[in-house]
Amino acid sequence: MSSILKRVLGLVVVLLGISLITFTVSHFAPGDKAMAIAHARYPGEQGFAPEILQSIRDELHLEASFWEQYLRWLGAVLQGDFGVSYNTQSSVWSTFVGSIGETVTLSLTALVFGLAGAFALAALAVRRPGSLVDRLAIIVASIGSAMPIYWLSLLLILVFAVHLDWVPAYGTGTLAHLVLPTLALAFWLMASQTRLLRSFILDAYDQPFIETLRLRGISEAEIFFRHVLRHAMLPALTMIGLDFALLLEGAVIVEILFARSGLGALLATSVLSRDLPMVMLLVMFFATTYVVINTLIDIVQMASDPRQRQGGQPTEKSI
Amino acid sequence: MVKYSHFVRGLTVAGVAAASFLAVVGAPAHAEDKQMVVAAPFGPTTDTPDPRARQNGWLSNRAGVSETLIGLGYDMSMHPRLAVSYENLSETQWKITLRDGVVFHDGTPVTAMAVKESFSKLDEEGHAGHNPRLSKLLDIQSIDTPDDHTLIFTTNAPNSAFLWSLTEPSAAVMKDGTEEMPLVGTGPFIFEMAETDKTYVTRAFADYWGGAPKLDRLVIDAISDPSVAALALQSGDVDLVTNYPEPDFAKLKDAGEGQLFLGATTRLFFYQPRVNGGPLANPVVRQAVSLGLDRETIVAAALAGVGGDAANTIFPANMTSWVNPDLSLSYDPAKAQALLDEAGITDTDGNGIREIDGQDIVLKLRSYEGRAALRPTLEMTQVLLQQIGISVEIAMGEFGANNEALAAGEIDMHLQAWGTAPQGDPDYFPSSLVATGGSSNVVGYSNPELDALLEEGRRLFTTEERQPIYAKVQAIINEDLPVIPVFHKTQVSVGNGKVVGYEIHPAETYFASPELDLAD
Repeated sequence: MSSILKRVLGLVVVLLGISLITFTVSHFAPGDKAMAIAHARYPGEQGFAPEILQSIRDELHLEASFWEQYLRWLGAVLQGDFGVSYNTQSSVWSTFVGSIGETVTLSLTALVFGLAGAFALAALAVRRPGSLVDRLAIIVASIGSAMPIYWLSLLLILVFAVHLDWVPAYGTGTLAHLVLPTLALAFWLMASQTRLLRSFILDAYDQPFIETLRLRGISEAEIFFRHVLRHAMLPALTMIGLDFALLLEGAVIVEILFARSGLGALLATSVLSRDLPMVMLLVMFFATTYVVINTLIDIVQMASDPRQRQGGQPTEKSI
Repeated sequence: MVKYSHFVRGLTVAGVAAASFLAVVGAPAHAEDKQMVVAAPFGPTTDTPDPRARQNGWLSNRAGVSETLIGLGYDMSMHPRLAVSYENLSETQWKITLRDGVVFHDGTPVTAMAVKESFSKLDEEGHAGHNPRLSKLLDIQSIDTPDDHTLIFTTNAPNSAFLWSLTEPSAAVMKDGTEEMPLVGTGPFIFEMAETDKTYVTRAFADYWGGAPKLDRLVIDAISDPSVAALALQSGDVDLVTNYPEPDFAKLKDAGEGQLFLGATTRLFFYQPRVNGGPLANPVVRQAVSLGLDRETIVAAALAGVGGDAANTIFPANMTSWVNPDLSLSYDPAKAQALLDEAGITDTDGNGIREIDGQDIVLKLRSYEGRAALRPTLEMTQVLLQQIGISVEIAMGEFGANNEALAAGEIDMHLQAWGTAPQGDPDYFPSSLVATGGSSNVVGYSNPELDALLEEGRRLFTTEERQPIYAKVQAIINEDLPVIPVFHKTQVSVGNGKVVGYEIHPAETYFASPELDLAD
């Protein structure tokens, strides 16, 4: 319990630190914020009258000191008020809530398909290490890791939307619209994780207890599913936490490319238009997600691995 | 090594089955009505974008939902729209006569009172149509409605740009919406729904004063990546891409393929030089820089030769009401070198770079992300100016930060892209950039002759009276070069071969009309 409390306190400190860093970077970034906001509010127009820029500065307290602005933001957030978008002048929270579904759906679907693909490919590869299948799996993984997601996405559109006409090229609304963005993200994830999973599985097979199990006459299938996979899952769990963060990062590009509205696309437009309240909310969300997932994984690992429960040192029993 | 092939096989089959399920279940439905889907780079900023607020009117004007009293023609001159005539009664009074038989999308007539009501929302804080910026531009003191078809606008001060401001899409005539019909306009298409940054959907308005539209529905989808938009056209998901990638457009043009649309816009790519310090404070150096720019080559390199027209003045050739056709900005590196030689700006140490007061001329040029042609234009400028003995360092930054750097003397030129006459009024661009104290005159340029001309131009009310004034303004700008025009952007669009009734408007704010159609 005290360990969980420590984690929660750590999370608060991390979030405060991230909020301060993000606010500082946004505050001291070069350029006239009022001008950037005016551009976002009136796209396509230039040469704003000084009165318009001044009214924006007054409206958003842009001339207040750094600490005054930061504490004003923090005070409001502690009361559950994330503020109003500088650009659209609507509540950033409602915009966030309206966009989160798209990103979570895309990220989770890609996570499931990507990890399933990675497990399948890794399982094929370790069947006969060094065989043609193993090499092919590594080649696929290497190509996937080396291929920029932007290029992969265009390739998928070209093949599946233009030539085969199976799915729409862009947009949201139906399951079909989810296919190509999911494939792009899942392939990217699968490629980056196959080699790691392969090495986790091979590492598990190298454990001395596997030979003992074989000597006891336990079938290879049972060894794989009950012992090898379980052993390999422990490091893989950490990886899945990192994968989720990776997916959120990848979603920024994929959402923009496939003209989907989600948190990634929202973050990109907010950063470009210096929409500080929206940027702050999104950064805090991404940071919280990242930290919470990794904390949960740590807890799960602690619960499932006796070595970690005892301070990370291998016990006499486990040796 | 291990026997778990069933596991692997099962996983593969499950994956393929899931993908097939997704593909079949989610296949896009084919609408039976005649619907045109258009890919545009930007989408709506909210789900219910009142055309009067902020810049929402640009999209709703393009989509044919909202209309203004006065419109802009394809030569950027004013033409009647909801108003059939407009008359200047005095320096501060304008009489507008409304068109007969115009109805809002809910079927109610457009009367003088309804128009007055619509304009009153510009000042109503908290209303969806609140627009203090437009209100300031119009500067209306009062609106009288002597009868159902007549409006008398009285402004607080003489305002020659008043009618031009009425052409701005934000000056739309709207009626307050309801839950069923959130935006009630007068255009050929009725607003159906919008999704922020994603899509804007409309349906035909059969009772439109200009005749029933030929299309049943018009959908404008925001696809920010031009390559994806081009692929969406190929896949048949969209019927028209309004901002097609220039290199791909050039290939289609060369191959004689595709339904191509090409139209000059009022968007100007130009350099704003630091005239109050550094090498460019010397007008001779500015002249040499301008003469050293091979604008045709820049257009060829940055926009594949199809995305722009070399600039001869700040206004494009198709802006016939205001462009000074006698002006040109030629490429003449020999003359540029001769000018510099005559001014004693030579290369004395033989390193290939000319010097001023013993210092090599090294110009720092900067631009910003957001328009693909800006970076290659900087790169081409670097190569071209090197040829006349001027060294150039280039970098990309942020628009506001670049302006601050220019004002602080940290850079020498800022490459920018502006719509030079978004409302058709020629005063906007020079007054913002080169008038003394202009809102974007960050380098403190001051030319009393130019100021006097601009002042006079703002006092006059007819195009005939103003034309010679702005012709002179352009001549002074070309001579003194407080801005160095490079090229005017051309919009390139590609259709699926069936698009009918589409023409690119120079202001980029007009698109949908009753004639817009898809051929069978």
